[in-house]
Amino acid sequence: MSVSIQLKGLARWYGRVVGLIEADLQFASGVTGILGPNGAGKSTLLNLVTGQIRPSRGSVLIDGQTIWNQPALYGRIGFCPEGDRFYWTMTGLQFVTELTALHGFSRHEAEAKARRCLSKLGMSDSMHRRINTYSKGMRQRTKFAQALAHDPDILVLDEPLTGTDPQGRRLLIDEITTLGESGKTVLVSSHILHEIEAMTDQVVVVHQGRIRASGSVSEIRNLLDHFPMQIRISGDNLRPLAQALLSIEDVVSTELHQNGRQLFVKTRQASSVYRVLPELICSLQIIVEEIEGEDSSLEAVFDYLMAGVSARLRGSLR
Amino acid sequence: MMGLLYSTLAIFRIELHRILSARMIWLVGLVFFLPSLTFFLRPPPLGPQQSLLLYAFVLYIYYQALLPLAALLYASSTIRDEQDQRTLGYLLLRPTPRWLILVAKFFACALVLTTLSCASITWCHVAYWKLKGATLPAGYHHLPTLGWALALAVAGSFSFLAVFSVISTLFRRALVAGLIYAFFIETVLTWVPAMVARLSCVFYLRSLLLRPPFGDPSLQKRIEEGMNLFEVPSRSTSSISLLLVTLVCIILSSIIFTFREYAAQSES
Repeated sequence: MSVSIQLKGLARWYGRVVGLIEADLQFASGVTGILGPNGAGKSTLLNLVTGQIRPSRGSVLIDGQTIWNQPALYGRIGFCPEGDRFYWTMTGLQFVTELTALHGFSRHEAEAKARRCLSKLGMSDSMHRRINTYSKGMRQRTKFAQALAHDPDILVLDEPLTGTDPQGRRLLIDEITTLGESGKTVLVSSHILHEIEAMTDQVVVVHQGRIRASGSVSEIRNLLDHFPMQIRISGDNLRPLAQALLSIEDVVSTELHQNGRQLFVKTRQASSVYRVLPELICSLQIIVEEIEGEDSSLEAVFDYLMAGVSARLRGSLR
Repeated sequence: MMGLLYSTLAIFRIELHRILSARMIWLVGLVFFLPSLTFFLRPPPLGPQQSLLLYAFVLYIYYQALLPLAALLYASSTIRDEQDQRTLGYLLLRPTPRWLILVAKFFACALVLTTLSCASITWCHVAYWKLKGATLPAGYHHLPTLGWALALAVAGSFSFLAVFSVISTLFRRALVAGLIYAFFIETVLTWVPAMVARLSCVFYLRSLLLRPPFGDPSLQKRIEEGMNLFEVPSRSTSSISLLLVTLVCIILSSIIFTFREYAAQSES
């Protein structure tokens, strides 16, 4: 069943700190990405949408009804929060079962739903283990399962892909995409553009507590293409890799630190570097411990986006 | 209707799991069994009346100190621990009225606390009267004496939990606020003359402990005079007062819990 979420003049302050301000938006069925750097106001927006916090001004309407303190509406929402929030000594199955039973299902029904959902997310073998023995990726999938098990119309997912392994990530992305296609209203927050891009083309950009733009990912991607992103690679003797990467057209510069154990790559197209990296690492026979997109540069990306092209974005994307 | 029942039972189960898997239960259990050591460390007094007095004194330690402390630990952790572990959002974002969440949690805590206190009081009774061979005064029998002590433990558990539930819904640092309350209201005030003592739950528990519905009224009178007690209310007044305190505090904490914004606090 398709559900509309409407934000009307929504604002939220934490004392004198602005969490979110002047948010007027409408979310229809399908997947919408909420994009913004850490501390931009994404979680505040999602907490307001799920009725967990009271707006300081304005309102959130789910099919025309205010959400705050309306338990009857909460049954239509599935929420996957950011970070580790668990009853750690429960098993994955117990956790999802009890949280599903909270939606008014008998324990038997809830357990059947929980089993189905966890199995679908590749947790068949590990659902009987305690959560405190799970890997980060398994914990993410367990959180996702509790949001999904009662078959809600609205799914609100706060950074659902954080810490997931490539296989788990693929699984979650496929599941989110399928849910969106089935007519559910899915809101997914992330501070990584290519994560959002893998799930949807519809995006809302939040920065410094304001909705800066809403529209298609491709337009934002075009703007970002001109901004150098930084990738940090850690490993042994990375000098040959640094030289090899300089031959890629989009790479602006490479910098070696810690006696060649850390390499910073600046690129206009992070995806083109990610594409060639595995092949280069194999051919040069280099041991790589970690590859990470630098978060600090992401903040800069948003500053860049907002400062220079804010007006253009509003005009073209809204 | 069935849906509400299922979700209430789920909250009850979650809370029970949370309490039973925490280390605190071992600590509380250990502390609850400490008073029985009194009976093993020293022989029971020779006379049955002195024996009863010592037994009543140990029970009084339960009602005056151990029950409020354990109730405070549990009541203050129901909300605080969920906030600290950031799991409260899961409960608040379910189609269950908030007041019902608090009531289900309250009953789970009450179940644990009454089980612990009843088990330790029963052990105390067996240790003193059976193992150490103390003799009961005329007019007193084992079953009613134990039954009365257990009934007071249940009444005390519920009323203290209810009072501390209000404190835990009002204050982020519920443990500190609760300790201040326990010291001033439940300890100092209980020995203040006139109406002031009636503000504490311990006052009514003490009154009920001194006036059981069996035994020797003249002995009870002598104990009250010996303790310099001012005005001891009747059993019905004390029972109704404790019941009212429990009900009013549960309702009050449910109202506060319904309208307070807990998720925002945990986020910020």
